Amino acid sequence: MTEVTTLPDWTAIAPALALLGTAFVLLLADMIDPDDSNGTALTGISVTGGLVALGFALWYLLAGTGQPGASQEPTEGAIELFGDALVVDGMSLFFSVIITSVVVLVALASHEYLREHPYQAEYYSLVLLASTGMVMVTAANSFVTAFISIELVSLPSYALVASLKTNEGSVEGGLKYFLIGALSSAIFAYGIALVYVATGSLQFGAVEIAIADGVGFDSLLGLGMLMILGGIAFKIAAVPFHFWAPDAYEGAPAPISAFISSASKAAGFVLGFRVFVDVFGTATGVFDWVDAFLILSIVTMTIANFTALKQDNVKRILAYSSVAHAGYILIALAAFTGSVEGEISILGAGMAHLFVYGFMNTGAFLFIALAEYWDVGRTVEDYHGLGNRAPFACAAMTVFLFSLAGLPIGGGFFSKFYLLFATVTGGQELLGAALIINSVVSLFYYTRIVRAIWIEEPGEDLEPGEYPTGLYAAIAVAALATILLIPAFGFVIEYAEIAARMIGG
Amino acid sequence: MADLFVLALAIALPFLAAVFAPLLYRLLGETVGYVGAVVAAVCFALLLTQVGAEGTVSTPWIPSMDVAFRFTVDAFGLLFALLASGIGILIFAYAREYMHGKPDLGRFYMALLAFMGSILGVALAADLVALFLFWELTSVCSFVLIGYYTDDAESRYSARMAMVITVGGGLCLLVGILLIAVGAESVGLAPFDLAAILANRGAVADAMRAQGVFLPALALVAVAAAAKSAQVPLYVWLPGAMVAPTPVSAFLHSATMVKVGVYALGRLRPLFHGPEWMALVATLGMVTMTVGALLAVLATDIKELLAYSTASHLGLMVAAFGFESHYGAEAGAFHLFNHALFKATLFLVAGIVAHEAGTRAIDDLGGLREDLPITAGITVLAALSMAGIPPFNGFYSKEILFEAAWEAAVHGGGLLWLYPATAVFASVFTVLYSLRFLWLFFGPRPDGLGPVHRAPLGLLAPPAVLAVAVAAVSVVPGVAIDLLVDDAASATAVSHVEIHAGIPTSLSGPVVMSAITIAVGVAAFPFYDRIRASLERVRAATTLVHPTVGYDALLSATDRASGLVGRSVHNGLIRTYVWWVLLSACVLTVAGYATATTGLPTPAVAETPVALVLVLAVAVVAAVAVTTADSHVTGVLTLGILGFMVAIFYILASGADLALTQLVVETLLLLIFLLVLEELPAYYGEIDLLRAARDGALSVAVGATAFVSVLYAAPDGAGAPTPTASFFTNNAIPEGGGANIVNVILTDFRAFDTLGESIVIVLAALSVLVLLTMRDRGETQ
Repeated sequence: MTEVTTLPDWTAIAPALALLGTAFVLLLADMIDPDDSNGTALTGISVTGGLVALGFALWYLLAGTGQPGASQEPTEGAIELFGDALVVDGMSLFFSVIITSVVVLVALASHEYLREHPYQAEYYSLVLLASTGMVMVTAANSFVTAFISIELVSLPSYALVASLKTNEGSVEGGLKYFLIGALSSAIFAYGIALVYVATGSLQFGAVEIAIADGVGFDSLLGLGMLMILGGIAFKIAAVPFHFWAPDAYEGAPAPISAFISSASKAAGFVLGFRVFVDVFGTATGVFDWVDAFLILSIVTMTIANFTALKQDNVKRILAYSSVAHAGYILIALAAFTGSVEGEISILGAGMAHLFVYGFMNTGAFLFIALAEYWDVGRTVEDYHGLGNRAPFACAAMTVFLFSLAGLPIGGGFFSKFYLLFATVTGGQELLGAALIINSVVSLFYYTRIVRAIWIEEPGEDLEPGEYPTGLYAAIAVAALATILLIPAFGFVIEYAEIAARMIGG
Repeated sequence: MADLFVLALAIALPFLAAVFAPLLYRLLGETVGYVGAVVAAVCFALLLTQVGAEGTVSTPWIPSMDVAFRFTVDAFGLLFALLASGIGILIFAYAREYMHGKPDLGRFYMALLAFMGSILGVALAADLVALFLFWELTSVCSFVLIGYYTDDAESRYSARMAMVITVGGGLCLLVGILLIAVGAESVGLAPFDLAAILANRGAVADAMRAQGVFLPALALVAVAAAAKSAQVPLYVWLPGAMVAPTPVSAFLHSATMVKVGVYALGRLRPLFHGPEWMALVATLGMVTMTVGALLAVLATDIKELLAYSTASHLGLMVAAFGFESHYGAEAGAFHLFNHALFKATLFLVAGIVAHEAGTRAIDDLGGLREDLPITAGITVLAALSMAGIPPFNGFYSKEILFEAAWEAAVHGGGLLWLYPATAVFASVFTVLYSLRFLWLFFGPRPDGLGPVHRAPLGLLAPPAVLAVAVAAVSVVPGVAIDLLVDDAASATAVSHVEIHAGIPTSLSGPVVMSAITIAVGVAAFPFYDRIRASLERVRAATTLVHPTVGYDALLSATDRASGLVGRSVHNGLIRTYVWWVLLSACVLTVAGYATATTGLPTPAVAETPVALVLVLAVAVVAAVAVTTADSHVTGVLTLGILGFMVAIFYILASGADLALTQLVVETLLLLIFLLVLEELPAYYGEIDLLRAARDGALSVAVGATAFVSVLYAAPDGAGAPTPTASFFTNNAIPEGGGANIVNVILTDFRAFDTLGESIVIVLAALSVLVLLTMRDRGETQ
C-alpha cells in the first residue's frame, strides 16, 4: 500500500503567498542599492515569482486540489481555511491561473517599458501586491476578506495608474480612478453592512443559509445587494461604474492598462459569480439581480461599443472594448436561470471567456506598450503602416483584435460562441440579439486598427528602433496562447464547468 | 470509407503553407505563386482519392459540448472542394504572372492559401461549429484580400463593407445553428453533429417545429446565405469587392466564397424542406436573379458586369435550391458546378483585358478579337455558356431550373406562375449582358483604345484550361454528372434525383421558356444601348431604395449615435461621470423597488408630533434656501440651519447623545467650509441654465430615491426587538454600568474595537505629521 501524503491545508493558498513573498523580496532587493535599480534583476524576480504562483495554481487545478474527488458530489471538495474566511476551490484556482498568467506577461513586458522609470522596484512590488489581492479575491469566502482583498487590489492599482508621475494623463487617470474607486468602495462597504444587518453574518455560507431560512429585513437585504452589485460593477468596469476605465486605461502605462483591464476584471467577476450565484442565488425574490444584470449587460456592451466607434486613440478604443467585454461576460449572470445544468453552462461560458480574454486583451494592450516604447504616437493614424516595420508584432495584434471581435482566429471565437449558446438555451433572445448586434458594431473599430496597421500607408518614415526582447516575448506568448485556445478550448471549458458546478450546483 | 487523415491533411496543408508563405516569399520571391499552385494540386489529388467514398469521420474537440472535428465525405461536399482546389491551382498559376511586381506578395499568398484551406473546411465540415468557424474564416481572408490595394479609399470602404455584411450574416448563421442544435439536442442527438442531424432530419425538424424555432432558424440561415452569396438586398458588397486583384475576384467572388451561402442552403435543404422554405428561398433567389441581371446590363466596367452577373447567377442557384421538386436540387448542384467553370474563366479573361488594354470601361473597349484571338475564343465558349445558349453547359442547368419553376407553378398555380415568368424575364437580360461581354471582342474597335498586347502564356493558360473544361462538360455532360454531380444533387434532395442534360427533343413548358429567352434576348441585343438608357432612368428614379443608401444611412446614423454618446456621457469631466453614476444608481434602485413584491409602507403622518413636523419643515425651507443663496457664505450658513434642525429632531426623538454629536460635527464642518471658502473666488461666472436644470433634476431624483429607500427599508415598528437588541437592553446596566446603550457598546462591549480605531487615528495623524515635515525634501531620485 502506498502512502499518499497530502500537503497541509494552508498550502492551498500558495499562489497568493508566492506573489506576496515576491513583492517583499523585490523591496528587499531594491534596498541593496536604492538609487540605482537593476531593471533586469527586478523583472527577473517578478517574473519568477509570477511563474511560481502560476505553477502552484496550475498544479493544484490539474491535480484536483479543492475539487470534488471521484467519490464526492460535484459541489463538494472545496478547502476552507481560517474559519471559512477563505476557500480554495475549482473556481478560485481557475481564476488564479488567469491572474498569474497575466502577471507574468505584464512583468515580462514591463522590462523595457520601464527602462527610464525611477521607481521600478516599487512598480513591480505594487503589481505583485495587487495580484496578491486578486488571488485573495478569488478565494474570499466572507464579505470581510472580499472587501479587504478588493482594497488590496484597488490601492496599488491607483498608484500604478498614476505611476508616470510627470505625465498629465497618467496622473489625471489615476485621480479619476481613485475618486470613483473611493465612491464605489464606500457603496460596496455600505452594502456589506446592510447585508450584515439583514442576515447577521458576513461569512458567505452563513449568509446563504440565513437567506434560505428567510430574513426579516428583505428591504435592507435588497438594498445591500444592490450596493454590492455597484461595488462589483466598478471592479469589472461595467456601466454605470465604468467611467474611470477609459481615462485610467488611457493614462496608465500600457502594461498596467493590460494588467487592470484583464486581471482586475477577472477578480471582480469571480467575486460577482461567487456572491450572486452562490450566496444570493436564492434571493432573486428579494431583489431581482438577474434582471439588473440583464439591463447592465445590454447597456454596458451597447454604450461601450458605440462610444468606441468615434475614438481616435487606440488605447482608448481598447479601453472601451474592455468595457464592452465586461458586458459580454455579464451575460453569465444575466442569463442565470436557476436550473442547475443551464447555470453551469452559462457560468462556464463566462469563465472561459475571461480565460481567453486574459490573453487576448493583455496581448493587445502590450502591443500598445510596444508602440509607446517606439514613440509612434497614440492615434489610429499614427499606427499607419506599422505592419511593414514590425510584421511579427502586428500579426500578433491582428490575432488579438480578431479574437476580441470573436472571429475564428483566436479562442475569443469559442468563448463568444458559448456565451451566445447560453443565451439561446436560456431563452434570453434579447441578450443574444444584443450580443450579435454589438459584435457587428465592434467589428468596425477592430478592423479599423487592423486596417491602419496593414493597409494604410505610413504618414512619414517611422523607424521602430530596437526590438525589445521582453515585450516581444510577452506578445508572442499571448498570441500563441490566443491561437492555441482554439484547439485547446475543450480543456478550458472542462475546468470552467467543474468550477461552475462547484458554486452553481 | 472516408479517411480522416486524408481529409485533415487536405484542409491543414493550405493553412500550413499559409503560415510559411511570408518566409517562402523571402526565399523564393514571386515563384511562391507556383508553390501555392502545387499546394492546391496536392489538395486536389488528395480529394480525388476520396471520390466515391462516403461517410463521416471525427475526432473529439470540445467533449463537454459534443463539438468535434467532424468531416464528412459525400458527393456534394467533394464537388465543392474539388472545384475550389481545382480552380485554386489555376488561380495561383495565374496570380504568379498577374501579380508580377506587386508589393507584399507574402501577405497576399498567405491570405489566399488560408482562404483555400477555409473553403475546403466549409465543404467537408460535418460539424455545425466547424462549419461556422471556416465560414467566418473565409470572410476574414476576403477582408484581407479586398483591402490589398492600399492606396484606394474605395478599396477600404469595400473591404469593410464586405466584412461587416458577411460577418454579420455569419452571426445570423450562428444563431440559426444554435437553434438547430437546440432541436437536435431535444431528440437526443449530439447538438452540432450535422451528419447525424441530416440523417434524422424528420425528427429534428419536428422537434424544432414543436419548440417554435423552425421558422426563425430557417429565416436566419436564409439571411446568412443571402449575406454571403450576395442576395437582394445584401448584394451590395459584391461589386465593391471587385476592387480586389482579379485572381481574387475570380477565386473568391465568383467561384468559391460567394458559393458558400448557396452551399449551406443546399446542405440544409433536406432539413428545412417544405413550403416555407420554397416561399422564402425561391423568392429570394428569383428576385436576386432579376435584380442582378438588370444591374449587370447597367454596368460600365467589365468586372462590375461580371460581379452583378455573379449575383444574378447565385440568385439562380438559390432559387433552384428553393424549389421543392427534385429538379431544384439538380439545377442547384449542376449550376454550382457550371457557373464556377464559366465565371472563373470570364474573370480571368477580364483580368487579361484589363492587363493588356489598360482599361476596364466597357464603352472604351471593342474589337479585341484582332489583338487577343485566343482570349476571344475562350470568351465565346464561356460567355455563351453564361447566356445559357444550347449546347453549352450553362444551358443544361438553366433548363433544369426552368423545369423546377414550371413544376412549382403547375403544382401550386395562381401566383406561383410568377416564378417561371420571372425566370424568363431575368434570363432575357442574362442573354443581353452575356452578348455585350462578347461584343468586347467582336464589336467595333473604339478610336480611343490604344495598342493591346498579346497575353503571355502564364495568363492565358489558366482560362484556357477552364474553357476546355466548359467545352468538355458541354459536349459530354454525362461524364461529370455520373462522376459527381448526380450524387451531389442527391445529397441536397429528399427524393430520387437523376439529372438529364441534353438538347431537348420534344416541346414542353420549360423548352418554350428557353426558346423565348434566347429569341427575345438575341432580338433585343441591337437595342442594348436604348434598353440600358431606360434602365438607367429607372435606377435614377429609385435611388431611395438602393441598399447602399440604406447601408450608408445606417453607418452615418451609427456614427452620429457614437458621437452623441461620446459627447454627452464620456466627455472626460468627472462631474458628468458622477451625474450618470448617481442617476443610474437611482434608476436601478427604484426599478428594484418597483419589481419587488412588497408594497410601499405609508408614513404614519397622523401620529407625528406637531413639533417634529415644524422642525422638519424649517429644515426643508433651509434646504430650498441653500439653492437660492447668492453667495457661498450665505449658502454654507443656511446649510448650517439645516444641520441644526436635524440636531433638534434628534433631541425631540430622545436621542440626546446623537444630537450632541450632530451639533459638534455641524459646527466643525461650518468652520472648515468657511476656511476653505476664503481661498475660493467669490464668483464663478454665469451658470448654464441647461446644466442647472439637469443637476436640479438629478438632485430631485436622488432625494426621491433616498426618501423611498428610507420608507421602504424602515422597520414598521411592530415586531419584537431582535435578539441582539434585547441583549444590549438587558445587559447595559448590569454588565456595563451605563444607561446609554450606544455609549456602553462603544466603551465596554466593543472597547477593543474602539481602542483599535483610536490607534488607527493616531497612526494616521503620525503619517500626516511625517508627510508635512518631509514635504519640502522633494524627490530623492
